[in-house]
Formats: sequence, structure tokens, C-alpha cells
Amino acid sequence: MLLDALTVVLVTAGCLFVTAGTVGLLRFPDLSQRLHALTKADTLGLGLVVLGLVVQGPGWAVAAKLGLLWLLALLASATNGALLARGAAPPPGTGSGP
Amino acid sequence: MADLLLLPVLLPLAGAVATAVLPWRRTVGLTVAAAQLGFAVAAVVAVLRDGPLRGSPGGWEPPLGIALRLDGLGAAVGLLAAVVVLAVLGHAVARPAAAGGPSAWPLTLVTVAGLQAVLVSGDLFTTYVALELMTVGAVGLVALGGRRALAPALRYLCVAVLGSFAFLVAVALVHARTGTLTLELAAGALPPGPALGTVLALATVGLGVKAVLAPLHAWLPDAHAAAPTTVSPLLSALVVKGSLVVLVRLWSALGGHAGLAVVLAVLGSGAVLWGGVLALRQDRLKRLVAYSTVAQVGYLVLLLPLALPALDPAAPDGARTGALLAWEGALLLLLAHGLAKAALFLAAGTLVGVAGGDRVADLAGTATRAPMVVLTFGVAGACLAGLPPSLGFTGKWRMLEGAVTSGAWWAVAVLLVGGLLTASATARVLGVALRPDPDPAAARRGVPAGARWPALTLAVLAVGTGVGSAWLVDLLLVGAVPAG
Amino acid sequence: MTALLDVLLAAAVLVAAVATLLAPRAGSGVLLFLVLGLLLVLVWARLGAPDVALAEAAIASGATGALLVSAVTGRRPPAEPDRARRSWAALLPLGAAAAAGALLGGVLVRARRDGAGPGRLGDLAREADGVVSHPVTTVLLDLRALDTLLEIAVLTAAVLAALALHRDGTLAAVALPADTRPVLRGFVHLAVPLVLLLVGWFLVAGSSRPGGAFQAGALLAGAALLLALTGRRDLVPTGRWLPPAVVVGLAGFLALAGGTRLLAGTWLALAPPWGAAAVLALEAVLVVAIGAGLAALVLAARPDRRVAAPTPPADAAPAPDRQAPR
Repeated sequence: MLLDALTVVLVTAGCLFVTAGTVGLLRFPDLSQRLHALTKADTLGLGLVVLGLVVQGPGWAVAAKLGLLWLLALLASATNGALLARGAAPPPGTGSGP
Repeated sequence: MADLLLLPVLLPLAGAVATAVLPWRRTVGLTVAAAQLGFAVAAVVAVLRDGPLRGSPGGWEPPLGIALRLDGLGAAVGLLAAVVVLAVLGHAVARPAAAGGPSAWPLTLVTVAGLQAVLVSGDLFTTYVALELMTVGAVGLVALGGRRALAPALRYLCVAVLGSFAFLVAVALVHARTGTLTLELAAGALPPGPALGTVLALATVGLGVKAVLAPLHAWLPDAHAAAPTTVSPLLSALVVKGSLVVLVRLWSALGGHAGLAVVLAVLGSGAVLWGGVLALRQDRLKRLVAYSTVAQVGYLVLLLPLALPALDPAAPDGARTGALLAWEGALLLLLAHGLAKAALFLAAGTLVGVAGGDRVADLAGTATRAPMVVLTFGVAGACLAGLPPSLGFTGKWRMLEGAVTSGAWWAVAVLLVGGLLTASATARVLGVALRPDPDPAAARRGVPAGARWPALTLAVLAVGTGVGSAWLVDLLLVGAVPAG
Repeated sequence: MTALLDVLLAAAVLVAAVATLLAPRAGSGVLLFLVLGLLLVLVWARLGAPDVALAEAAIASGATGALLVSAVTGRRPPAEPDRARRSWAALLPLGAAAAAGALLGGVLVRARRDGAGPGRLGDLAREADGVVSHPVTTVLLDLRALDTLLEIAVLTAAVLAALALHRDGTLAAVALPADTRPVLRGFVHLAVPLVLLLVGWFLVAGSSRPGGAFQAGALLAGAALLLALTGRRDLVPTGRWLPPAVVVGLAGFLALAGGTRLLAGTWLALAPPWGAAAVLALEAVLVVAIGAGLAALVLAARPDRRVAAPTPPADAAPAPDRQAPR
């Protein structure tokens, strides 16, 4: 019972963070700011959702796999963020950006 | 028994694998084509003797496994395809520039395998995959025509995939209603109603795109104009015929639909007249031949509304006799068209090469430079126009007989007018070719023998098989629903 | 509650599809296509078909998405797109699709109500005594092996057709992007071994749980493309060995067919003692072929490096059958 409530709280918090990330994607004016919103908020939201699922007690193997999923998502979003940001930013010393 | 059903499918695939990685393409290709001819003849003999051939690979019986079934129509079209492919490959060996490059060999063999799989498949999903195999091979072949062929090939691909999707949805509907994918088992289980109408409509649209039924024909003239010489006969003799065979089998197994038949009658008649008129107005040779294919397919589609009473056990006897005659006639015309159109395309490609340009006006004087090729064009055109004693005449005569017996006078008018239009188009080309050579002193390259004889053989076969075609009619009736 | 989620998901799929068709630029359309693919994966998961969901994610949205991106990037951006005309041109197929969808929906609802047997084949397949335990693999490689053989032939033919458009029928002339940024190289060093591990797992797991040759092959293509992004051709042969790598799947299948005919008497019949091993061996060969084929398709979308001589050998002969440029 308590565990179910904890799961609901954690998953809802995770969804809120992901939504915040999406709002940032739609509302921020600049590529770099959108990347901030996406990489940080979405990954944190995913982590909270994973935590909420692990709390349900599915066993070590499944919990480990969920954790691995989160780590891979972290790796992918960090790499994509860095690549997109590098690609968009002007070389240093040439004035205003895109 | 399953050997004769599966070997014609698997051997070309093995040949495609071999020609993709080994250097002896022509040897492998011609050997496979000769073997296919042997299989086709053996299949025809077996079907005439024992009735439809059946089998299931994997040792699993239908409805769980795949049902394979070769009826008379399949055996006849298989024989047609084997003859045409052998002639086309012979032409390609003699004139490599006409083939489109080394990749033409694996892609041709893949298309042949696809057609064979369509012909032997008694299972709806296998038919779908086989149609896709044929389409992918054909698109690849069209794209071999160079940069100019890329846009028409892509258009063909998009349109053909949409058609396949419509067919797949029809198959899914049949499975949802009857719980089986085997055509014979589904035949009795689908009662007339909106479900049957939807299935037939979707399947007709999907197959009509591949079979070049107007108004879904727009991709064909551009594709033919851009494709290499040896690819066009394969498109008309293999791809179009295969789709028509599936359409005929589906209609006869599921029982047809009266409203849809009326629509097809209108579209078919329209195609005959529209294709015929447009063929007369073209000034590029291969597009002219392509539009005449559109017209011919219109004839063949008229089979479905004319033969509808033969599928209905409750119809009166007079109507059934007429319908059966129309059925036989249209299928004979299908075979005649396959042979004659292949010959026509090979001849047209060679003439374009000899004349140095692909406009009809450029053909002036080719009768003196390449007389055999012009003769081939004329003979094939005569078969298509329905002049006796060709197979085209036999087929058309039977269709006329059937239409008169059933009282379908609109069909009689369409058939006669269409024949006139085809004859005019052929006569126009021959007229230009027979004009005196405008530049007799210029040095011209001759046409190698290997490029003249295959096409002429096909044309002579188209005309010669009209005589004594009773065995063909018997073959076409084996395993066909209207026969009993 | 779940019904509401399902309705939202279905609506999202429709919105994504319409948006993909009406997108003003090709690049945005491709990105929306990727979104559509992801939503379709969720749909398959909701329908209880994990194998199809995996295949959709790996092939239909993964490999196809990569192919579309490869084809769209690097082109010169077209002149300002005529937005109004593009919308009108897309409305006709949308309308036709909507009408067809409504008709189909009606027929399917009728079928459901009349109780016609939709599940019979599925139940029969689950009860069938195949050589492997997973019913999807049983259907693919045991009950309907001929269909799968033809499907592999379709893939092989498509790859051969794509290769035919390049010089020599191989991809040796294609310029690979040689991106040497340390972030990307670090990611590739970490990700590729992991993906290869997954490939092996999917291959072996396909006999008893969702997985199989198609998904594993698509993952292998993904790993090969990741390496190709950094300019390395380790996993995807681009020269003389490409055609053999692509046709080996079809060749293996044909060998199985011929072998079973000669040794067991029936084409493609698998029997218990050696059947499971045969399935695994066949799937391994298919993984190689599908991986090489899909990677080759994505790379084939890139143009050849420019050389002095313009046209490939097929056109170089006096080309008597080509139309005279007018």
C-alpha cells in the first residue's frame, strides 16, 4: 500500500519533470537553452520513473536492467546534447550566435 | 509433387545469388532460363494429365501451413514467362547495351522467381510477398535505365507499394472474417455482403495498380520510356500478367461482385478507347507501345464483368455459356498479349538503336536497314490487332462470341473499335519505317543475329499458336472455377 | 482508465502522421516520421505484440529513419517551399486514407460482432508442435518458412537494386562522414560493444522469447552505421565483399531448403533433433545478411565521390537505346 503510494508519487514527479522539459523545448528561444531543458529535465524525469518502478519490488535482475536503461538514456542524451550544441555554436571570437 | 511447384521459384533465386557474386553471369542466367522452360513444360504436361498440382512446404498442412496450388492458368502463364525470359536473355547476351549492366541479371532472376511464386501460391499472404518480390525486382530493373529512369522508377515504387498495401489490407480482412489465409478454404466462407465488396474493391485497386488498369496506369509510359530495352518485355509479360492472374483467381474464388463488375466494365472499356487514342497520338515509339499495353489490359479486365455469370451457380445456361466463352477468350488474349508485346518491345528497342532516336519520325528508312526487326514489329502488331490466324485473333473471336451470346453488345463495340485503334497505331509505325531512307549513304551499324531472332521467334509464336489452340483452352480450364 | 490512454495514443498517432505529410521541409518531415515510429512502437506494445514492437523500433523507424535522414541531409536546401500547394496536394491522399480507414473500421466491427474466427490461426500456431518454443519464431521459420524466404529475397533484391545505382555495384566510392569529435568517438566506443552484445542476445533469445533474426540484424546495422559515422568501415564491408555479405542470408535459406529436400524428403521441413540448431544457424546467417543489407541501404543513399569520367559503364557503349537528348 505504502509502496504503491510511493510509486505513484515518484512516477508523477517524473512525468512532471518530463513535461517541464517539453515546455522548455517549445518555449525557449535558443538551441542551447532548449538543450539544457531537454537533457537535464528529461533525464531526471526518466530516473524518477525508473525509481518508482523499482520500488514495486520486481527483483534485482529487472531493477538492474531498468537502471542500465537509465544510464544508457543518460549517455545518449549527454552525447546528443554535446554534439548538437557544438554543431550550433559559432567558433569562439566571431560575434553573435545563431 | 511439390518439386515442380517449388523448383521454379527457388532455382531463379539461387541463380540471382550466383549472378550477384560470381562473374559468369550470362552462363548462369541462360542456364536458369533454359531450366525454367523445362520446368514449365513439365508443369503443363502434369497439369493437363492430373489436374491442379498441390503441395505444402515444411510438411505442415493448411490452414496452418502454406498451400501451394498450380492450376491451368498458372501453368500457361508460367510457360509464357519462361519463353519470354529465354528470348529476352538471349537478346541481352547479343546486345549487352540493351540490358542495363551486370546488375540486370540478378534482378531479372529475382523478378522471375517472384512471378513463379505468384503462380504457384494458393495462400493469400504468400501471394502478397511474391507480388512484392516481383515489384522490387521490376523497380530495380527500371532504375537501371540511367539518371532519367530514376524519377519514373521511384514513382512506380511508391504507387506499387500503395497497391500492395491495399492488397494486404484485403488479405487481412479475409483473415479477420474467415480465420484462414488459404484461398480455397476462404472461398466458401465469405458470404456476399459489404465485407466481400470491400475485400474485392481493395484487392482490385491494389492489383489494378500493378496490372496497369486505367486510371491507375500513369506510371507505365514514363517507366517504359526510360527503362532499358530488355526490361520492358519483362514488365509487360511478367509483372502485369502476374497481377492479372491473381485478380482473376481472387474474383473466381470469392464469387465476384455485381456492382464492382459494372465499374470494371466502364474502366476497361475506357482503357481500351483511351489507351488506343493516346497510342495514336504519341510521337515517341516506346510510349506508343506502352499506351497500347494500357489498351490491351482494358480488354483483359473486361473478362471480369463478362464472365461473372459463369461464377454464379444460379445463372441461366445461356448466360453461362457466353460467360465461359468470354473467360476462355480473355485468357487466350492474355497469353497472346504477353508474347506479342514482348516481341514488340524488343523490336522497338532495337529500332530505336538502329534509328538513333526514339521518335516515330526517326524510324524512316529502317525497313531497309533492319528488315527483320520491322517484320517482327509488323507481325506482333498484327497479333495484337487480332488478325487471323494469330492467337490474338482466336482470343478476340472467342470474346466476341461470348459477348454476343450473353447479349453484351457494349463489349462487342469496344472490342471492334479497340482492334481498329491498335491496327492503326501499328500501321502508322510501319508506314514510317517503310519510307525510303533519308540518308542512304551514311554508315550504319547492323543488328546482330542474336538480337533479331528472339524477337521474331516470339512474334511467330504469337501468330502460330493461334492454329490448333484447343490444347491451350483445355489447359486454361483445368482447375478454373467457371469450368465446374 | 487505460481506454483513455489508448484513445490518446491513437489520436497522437494520427496527428503525427498528418503532421509528417504536411511538414513544410523534408527535414522536419523526417523528424516527425521518427516520432510517428516511436508512437507506433507504443501501439504495438499496447496490442500485446512485443516482437512486432521490437521490429518496428529497429527496422521500420530505426533503419528507415536513418535512411531518410541520410538521404535528406547534405542536399542543398530547395527554394522556398510553396506551402499552400503542398498542403493541398497532401489532402487528397489524406482524404482517401480517411475514407478507407472508416470503411475498414466498419467492416472489422461487423466481423467482430458476427464472431467470425479471427483467433483460430493464432491459437493453432501456439499449440503447434514446432522445433522452437516461441510461437512467433515457429510461425516465421517453421510453419511459414517459405514466406520468410521470399521476404529475405525481397530485402536482398532491394539492396542489390540500391547497389546497382553506384559504381561497380559496391559502396567503395561512397564518401563516409569522418566525424572525429571526441564526444562522438567516446560514445561509439561505449555503445558499439553494448549493441553487439544485444545482437548476440536477440539472436539466441529468439527461440524462446521475443527477439529473432530481424531485430538482431537491424541492431547490427545500427552498430555498423555508428562506426561508419566515425569513418570506420569495420563492421560494414563496402568493397568487393559487400554483395556476398548481402546475399549470404538468401543463400543460407536456399541451402536449408535444398538440404531438407534432399535429406528429409520435404522442402523446408524441420524435425526435432536437429531442427532447433538449424533454426539458430539460419538466424545467425540472416543476422549477418540483414545487418549488412540495412547498413548498405543507408549508406547507399549518399552520393558517390566525384570523379573525372562521368557515366558508369552501362551507358558508356554508344547507347543506341537511350533517347536522344532533345
